[in-house]
Amino acid sequence: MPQHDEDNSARQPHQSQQNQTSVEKSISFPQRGSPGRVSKAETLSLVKMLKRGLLVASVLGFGAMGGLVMSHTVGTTNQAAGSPPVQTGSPPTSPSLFTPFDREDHEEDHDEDEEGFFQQQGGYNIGANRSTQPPATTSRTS
Amino acid sequence: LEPIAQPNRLQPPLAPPDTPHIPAGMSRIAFRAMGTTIECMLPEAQAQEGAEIVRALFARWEQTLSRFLPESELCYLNRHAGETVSVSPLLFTVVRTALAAAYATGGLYDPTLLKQIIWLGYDRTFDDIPPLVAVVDTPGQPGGDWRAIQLEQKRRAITLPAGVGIDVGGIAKGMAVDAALNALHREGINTALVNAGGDLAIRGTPPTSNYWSVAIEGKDQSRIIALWSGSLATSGVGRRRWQQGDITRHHIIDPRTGESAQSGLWSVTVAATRCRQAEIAAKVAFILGAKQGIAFLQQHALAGLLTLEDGRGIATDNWPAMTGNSGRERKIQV
Repeated sequence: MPQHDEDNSARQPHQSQQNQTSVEKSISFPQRGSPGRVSKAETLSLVKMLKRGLLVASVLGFGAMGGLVMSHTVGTTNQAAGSPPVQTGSPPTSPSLFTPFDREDHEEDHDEDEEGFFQQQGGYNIGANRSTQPPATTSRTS
Repeated sequence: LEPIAQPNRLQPPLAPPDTPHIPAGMSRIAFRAMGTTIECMLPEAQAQEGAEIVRALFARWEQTLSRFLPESELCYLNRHAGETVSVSPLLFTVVRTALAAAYATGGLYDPTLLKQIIWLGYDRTFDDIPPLVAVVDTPGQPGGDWRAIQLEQKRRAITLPAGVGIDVGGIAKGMAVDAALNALHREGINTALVNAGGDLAIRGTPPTSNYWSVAIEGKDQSRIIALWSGSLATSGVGRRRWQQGDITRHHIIDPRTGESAQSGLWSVTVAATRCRQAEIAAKVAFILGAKQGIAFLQQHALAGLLTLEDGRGIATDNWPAMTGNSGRERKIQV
């Protein structure tokens, strides 16, 4: 049927391409018994090396995660003013993650619904004011 | 409540709070909006530009969110309770945030207490409330209607239950402070302090100092702390209170009773990352009272100072030692 012929003709180029690819692939892989063939011993050695690499990566990853957890401080500083503040809440986020500041003022709050209203992303720093500097402002009862 | 003596904290006040010290290189701008005084500290070179940004933002927020402006979008929404209303992104975001806060506090913050506060006499701007308001023969009605509010994110639509109105005054002020700092940052102004009647937040520090010195208004005198980053908010009965018959009312409503909260506290100051968080946490801690309030703040890793009605202070473990206090601070074990 003409329609069937048309379908066949339409498939032809695709099929021939597939054949060509399989030929190319067969050329690229060495034949059985050729000098490029990987022996069982070499394969085992390769697997061992990969296992070792995986182990090292796991240890490093675990260490990095542990470090991040250790650096996560919660609490408030009781330091004298002028001394370096200690971060409270979550650890500082890299500037690239401060997307809320790039949004319009009414489009910045999606994270609260997802992560909880009181989540302390970025933290806050307060401390004792032991210097003689008078207050710049007042937090009055509202 | 066992006091822990902290005699080393006793120092005289450094300056009266009504005479703010403007750090070198900074300018102070103040204006009225949202029923309170908005104060900004901005770098001298960017003060004019920054003031315009903040002023425009607060004007827009007030125009949209005031319950005292009949033409505001909030009033329109309240008038159409029981219907689905498409709203602006600003109103939708504020209501959604208010509901998130209500959920996070188990309903101790409740944005649907409008009729209760009107019954108590706060039915007009605070400046217009007479010294003695009429008694309304309506028993206190608990809140909780926020649970029935429906939000449709896609259509940006809100459906209030019939007969329910919302008041986002406090949280909107905190959110406006956060938004103002963000708006300034977008225009390249990275050092600023914005204070909306006690709800304040900072970004950066003044050129000549690595912190902002902030006084916290107490009952008898102010306490002073250093703020490096984040925000502070104070809620209390020092200002917004009035007389209704024989009863002294104030604006912090306990949603469990529908009446002004009676917790034995004068005020609560909270430090948090965002001003809206500090605002809501201060309000909720005030409603809860001393012991439960401290537990609530510590549960959320927030620092707070609770001033009792007799003027003594109780602080969370992470609240710093302060100058200018009366030496009557104590820690509480929770």
